[in-house]
Amino acid sequence: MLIVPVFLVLGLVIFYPLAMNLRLSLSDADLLRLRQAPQFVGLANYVKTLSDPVFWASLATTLIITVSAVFIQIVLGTATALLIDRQPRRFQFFLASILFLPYVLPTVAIAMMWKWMLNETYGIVNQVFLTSGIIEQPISWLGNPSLAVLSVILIEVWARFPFVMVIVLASLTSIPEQLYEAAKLDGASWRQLILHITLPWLKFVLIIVASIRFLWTFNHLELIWVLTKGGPSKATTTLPILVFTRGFLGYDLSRAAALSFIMLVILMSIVMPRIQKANVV
Amino acid sequence: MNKISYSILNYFGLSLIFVFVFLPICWLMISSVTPPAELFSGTIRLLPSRLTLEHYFNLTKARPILSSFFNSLKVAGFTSGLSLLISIFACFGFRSFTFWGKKTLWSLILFSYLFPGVLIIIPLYFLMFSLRLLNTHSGLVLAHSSFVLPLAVYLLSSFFRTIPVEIGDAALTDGCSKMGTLFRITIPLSLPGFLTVGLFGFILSWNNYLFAMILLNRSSKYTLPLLIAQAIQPDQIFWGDLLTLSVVTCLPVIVIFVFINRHFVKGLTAGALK
Repeated sequence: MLIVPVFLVLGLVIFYPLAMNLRLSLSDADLLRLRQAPQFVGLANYVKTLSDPVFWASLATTLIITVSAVFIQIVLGTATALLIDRQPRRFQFFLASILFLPYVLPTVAIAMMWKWMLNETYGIVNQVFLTSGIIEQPISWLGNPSLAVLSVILIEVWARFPFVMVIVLASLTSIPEQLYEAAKLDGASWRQLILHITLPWLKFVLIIVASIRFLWTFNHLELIWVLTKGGPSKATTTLPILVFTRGFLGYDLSRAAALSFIMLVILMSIVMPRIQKANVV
Repeated sequence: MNKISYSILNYFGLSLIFVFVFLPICWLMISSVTPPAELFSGTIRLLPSRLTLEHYFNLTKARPILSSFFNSLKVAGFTSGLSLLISIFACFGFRSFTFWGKKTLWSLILFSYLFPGVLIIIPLYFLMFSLRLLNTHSGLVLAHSSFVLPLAVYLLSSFFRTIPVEIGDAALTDGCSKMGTLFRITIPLSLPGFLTVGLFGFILSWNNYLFAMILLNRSSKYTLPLLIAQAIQPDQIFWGDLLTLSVVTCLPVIVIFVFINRHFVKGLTAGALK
């Protein structure tokens, strides 16, 4: 009885919409004709989506942004955790919880703070580079297609690496001290300790964290939408952006639903097995 | 290399990371109190010549900042309160009772926790349309529950796990009912946990832009993230408003963060590594 309310709410806002999404994707629902009952059209929306070059281009964009952002987050997060782990124990937690701040800030505000710093004319990044003579012309960070992708990756790393850091740090502090002491007695160097004790110990946690970050970065719509709206010239149009623009600006709810379902299938086949193997779920 | 140069390198690395993390946040704060003339002069100035609240005054005149602030407060408050209440019962149920399908149901909670909301924005819009909840805060509270509630259950269960089962057992032998242990033992012992979970749920809902963007289109209903995004128009960006609005939206989060981050980081890692 006690657990009924939680499943009522989750059923209404997650599981029922998931089922509804499948039904919508097989029909011809339109944002401008919400009151009419949608007609069943079979797999037409899926055929249209999969034969659309825009879909494949934005799948590639999504993968490029997600894989690079997650990779850098893992490297930076692990490196930070390793640095913190070498501090006296009573500072460790303090340092980690301060550095966690970006993770809880509103994404929209994060996007704005970076949009301001990267602004072509007034932004501090260009001003510093210009004054120090590294560049001669101001760079349009969010106006150039490949630089925009790079900026999105940078901001995604800034905002989310703390998540990797705290989880890796917690795992680091659970390594038994005796392992290190035994290795040190055998004359192992600091590098050997990291390579042969720390990283193998972390492997398990890193796989889980990387999978979770992959899942959430792949589906992160807010940041890119506020920064670039998917531009310039569709360079940062990831799949979530495509779902949103198709559904709410292009009025084609059914094709957007089909697209969401394809994303779900991609994610379930890539990420879920890894998370499940790690026994988290 | 000797020990000393290692620790110098170590401090150097950590300082670099601190600069990387805090420079953007500080720059946002500083810019928001810089006089407009200096803000748009195009020359580097690490600190403004004088501090001004001009942008903030302009903001209160130009945009419905107060009503948006209260909208955000209302939505985030209701979302976290509702989620906390439901998750207290759910966590107690999962911890104290054995029932058929317990494992499967628990995996459904974890699935919901990991589930990215963007995959259901289309059907959710339909659902809110047919429930006549478009453009209402109740609809937004429901939508926000889809990600706040699973996290609340997840975090709270890691708090409940720290309460020894023996205390409950002792109360049961003394004649307390199972529900009695909830009100007499579990709830009093997890009050700090409730605060953490409630405040974190509040932050999550406060920060969310995605669902508000889809479900609300009347500006009197706007929450703060929507108001920020609205300051970017295709033909003009209102930088002064953007900077100050971002600061106003971040400040409550930073205050709460300073207050609970110890507990939160602990709860998150305990849950993730159980």
